[in-house]
Formats: sequence, C-alpha cells, structure tokens
Amino acid sequence: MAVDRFSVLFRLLGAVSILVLWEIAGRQGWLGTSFPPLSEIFGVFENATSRRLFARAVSATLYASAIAFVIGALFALVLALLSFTQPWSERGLDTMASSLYAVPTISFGPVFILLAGPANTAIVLGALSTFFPIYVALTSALRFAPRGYDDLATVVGASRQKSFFLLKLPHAVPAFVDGLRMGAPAAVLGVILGEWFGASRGLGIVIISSLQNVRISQLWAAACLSIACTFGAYVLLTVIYRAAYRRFAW
Amino acid sequence: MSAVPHLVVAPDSRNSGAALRIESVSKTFRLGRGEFVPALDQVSISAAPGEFIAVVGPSGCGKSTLLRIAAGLEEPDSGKALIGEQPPEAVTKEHRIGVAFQDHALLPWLSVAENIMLPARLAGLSPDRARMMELAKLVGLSDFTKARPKQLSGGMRQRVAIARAMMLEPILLLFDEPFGALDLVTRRSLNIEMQRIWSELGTTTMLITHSVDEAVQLADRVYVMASRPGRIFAEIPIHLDRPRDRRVTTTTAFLNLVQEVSVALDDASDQSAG
Repeated sequence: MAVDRFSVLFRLLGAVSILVLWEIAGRQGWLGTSFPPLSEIFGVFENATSRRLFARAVSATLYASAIAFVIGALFALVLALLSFTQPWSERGLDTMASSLYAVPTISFGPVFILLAGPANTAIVLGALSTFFPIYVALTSALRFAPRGYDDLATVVGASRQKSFFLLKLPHAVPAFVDGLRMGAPAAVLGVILGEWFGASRGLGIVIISSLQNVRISQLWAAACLSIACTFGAYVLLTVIYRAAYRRFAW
Repeated sequence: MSAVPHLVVAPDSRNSGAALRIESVSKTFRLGRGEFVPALDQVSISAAPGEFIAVVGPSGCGKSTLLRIAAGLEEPDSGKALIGEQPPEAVTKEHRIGVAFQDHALLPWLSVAENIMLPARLAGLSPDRARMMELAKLVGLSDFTKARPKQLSGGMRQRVAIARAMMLEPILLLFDEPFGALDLVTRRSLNIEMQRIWSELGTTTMLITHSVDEAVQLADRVYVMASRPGRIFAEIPIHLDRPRDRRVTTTTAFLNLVQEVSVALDDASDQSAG
C-alpha cells in the first residue's frame, strides 16, 4: 500500500516536472519559435471558434477511429480463427499480416485514395493499424494454450470442436482483449494519418492545415488532443482488459 | 438420464474398473539430429481390476511416459497397453479414463463445480450435477463449489483435479504426481484423504510418484523403476490392511516396507547409467 502510494507520487512528480520544464523551455525559447510554452498551447482552447473547430475535429476522428477499430478487430478475429482452425491458411495469413505490418502505414495512403476514396482512407488506415496487434495476440494465445489442456481433451475423448470452444477460446480471451488494448490507440493514430490524405474533417486535417498556415500553437494543440485521444482509448481498454484478466486468467 | 452412455461396468458407486496391462513397452525419444534417448525399455506392468499400483523411480526414468502411454497420450514404439481388452485410445473415446495431472490443469475461468463437471461437457454428455456434488463432498469441497480455482490453496486445487478425474466414472484412474507440487504437510494429509477416497471407490488406479511414503501408503503393489533406459527394477507387494489411516504410517510393518522400497530405489539409482 505504502509502496503503491510512493510509486503514484513519483509518477505524478515526473509528469509535473516534465510539464514545468516544457513551460520554461517554451518561454525561454530554448528550442526555437516552433516550441511554444504549454500555457500558449492551452490558450488556443480559450477561443470559442477554436473550441468549436477542435470539438468537431475530435468527434470526427473518434467516430472514424471507432469504426476503424471495430472493422480491424472483426477482421483480426475472423482471420485468426480461420488460421487456427484451418491449418492450410495459417502460413499465408501470418505472412500477409506481418507483410502489412512491415510496410509503413502511410505508404498505403495513395493506394487507398484510389481504392476507397479520400473520405474513407482514414478508416481503412485505422483498421489496418488495428488489425495486426489483435491478430498476433489472438493467434498466439490459441496456438500456445497450456499443453495440459490438450492432454485433458484427449484423455476425456473430447471432439476438436468441444476442445476449441470449452478450452482454447476462453483461454484466449485475456490475450484477445490485450490485443484490443494495443489496437485501440493504433486505430486512432491510423485514422489521423489517413485524414492527411483528404478527409473533410478530423484532427489530421487540423494538423495539416495548421502546418501549412504556420499556426504553431494550434498545431501543438491538435497534437496534444491526438495524444489525449489515443491515451483515452488505451485507458478505456485497459479497464476492460483488467476485468477480462480477472475473469479468465489466474 | 445417466451421464455415462455406454457402460462397460455396472454403474454402482463402487466401480472396481478394468484391468490394466502394459506389455513389453519400449519408447525412444528423438533429441536432435541422429540423437536418440531410450525412455522405456521392455516395460511390463499390470494392475488387476480394483487394484492400486504405484510406480516410483528417479526423475527422468520414464514413469510419466509410462502413464501417458496408459492414457493414450503417447504411442509406444513397440509393445502395447490394454485397458480391459481395449487399447487406451478406444477407452478415451468412451470417456472412461480419469487422469489427474501434476499441474492440475484446472480452468481459471470456471468455478470448482464447473471444473469438476468439465469432462462431461468436453465429452459432449450432459453434466450430472448430483454426481458433481457427490464428488465435491468426497474430496471435502462441498462448501467451495462456487469458488474459482485461484481462490483455493494448492492442496484444494489438487482435490478438485482428483474429483474431476472421477467425474465420468472411469474404469481406470491415472495419477501423475498429483501432489508433487505441494508441501510435505499438505501432501501427507492429502495422502490420507486419497486413501479414504480410494477405499470408497475401489477403482483400478495407477499412481506415479517419487515419494516412497506415498506409494507405500496408497498402493497394493509398488513398481520401482531404474532409468536410462527406463525399466522395471523391482516389484514390491504392500500387504497392509485397509483402510490405512494416519496410525499405519507409524507401524513397523509400514516402516519396513518404506525401507524395502527405498533400498530398491537406491539400488535402481546405482544401476542407472549416469
């Protein structure tokens, strides 16, 4: 208990000192004019017009991210189950997943502008970014279930189907949710990246247009909000992950 | 609505089970390129219906492999295992082998009750709650059927594993060091429990252990194995009256048998190459 309190205190102290250092560095101009102090970045939100702009952008990005997350997770779920239950597909799917992951997401942008249209590119890139961690987490949990489970299934004469639904699948639940936890921030990042390729609204658009118009504080504000969104997604899924872990694991 | 579809033996609570015969079984494992390690060499053991046999031996002598062959989890290179008149694979298809593993292999997401009934669900049979309650009572866990395995102590988890092994009224029980991971005190009290439980069931049982006390307390016959390659070194009958409670362990007859088995085990270790 005492240890926990200390670690929380230290983390808080670390975060606060970074923020203070940021403020000082910005005011003193240590890192040049493109590094504003925190107070100036948050000052952006005092303006009602900016607030409306950001509110629209955040809701558009989060909405697209949610869709991208669901699509990416569903694809990961279906393909992971396919690769586990149909051994002929395993190598092909694994290779496809890691190839997709190895190619920088941003290089897919132009391809999907042509295939899905500029408006949907954000969702496609978000879904692609979500897919990989979930696919990997689920396939490895299914493949590496404790050997004792297989022995138990063999000894009681369980069918492959029973062994899959009663042992393998529930065993994989915490790992799957852990994959979701990794995939959620990835969805937000993928969407923001995709928005650069011509979405009509969203944080990605605000970032691009602030950059082009040299609105430095607004650019930083958009970046901070992007971080807040990914972090929020991560925290939310972490809560769900902990619940799943308590329910399904030792 | 019986939980057991096809009965080889009468379904009364005392089910003496089938004979186990392992005949001249040999098994070699491949280590790497061109490297082989002989795990079992011409091993023959048997248990009459309703008999309790124990197999003791130094670690690495192949005793777990022997059990896995009896359970149909491993295929011998030569020789055969028979349960009654059938090979183990046929008996597992009829869901009539009960195994308690060393690592208990309980499912953390299921309650104690659901864990005990799991073999029935895995086998595609309707789980018999009454039988589950009976087994929970037998292993002294009536009050814990709603608990999760992670809320239980190590000893209680092994009791769940033992109850689960008996769920489908097996004709053969196989115990692979079920108490191996427990402390000595818990282990001794579980041995006494086990002895009582087994006296009530009377099912053919094969126990793998490295504890001589445990083997002598529980078994009708003890096989001592030597390693490299794994082979039967001695066979010692245990003529002690049942039930064997705590007092038995202090009698001269018990202590003499423990000594006899221990000496055999030492000789076996001396003879084990390496």
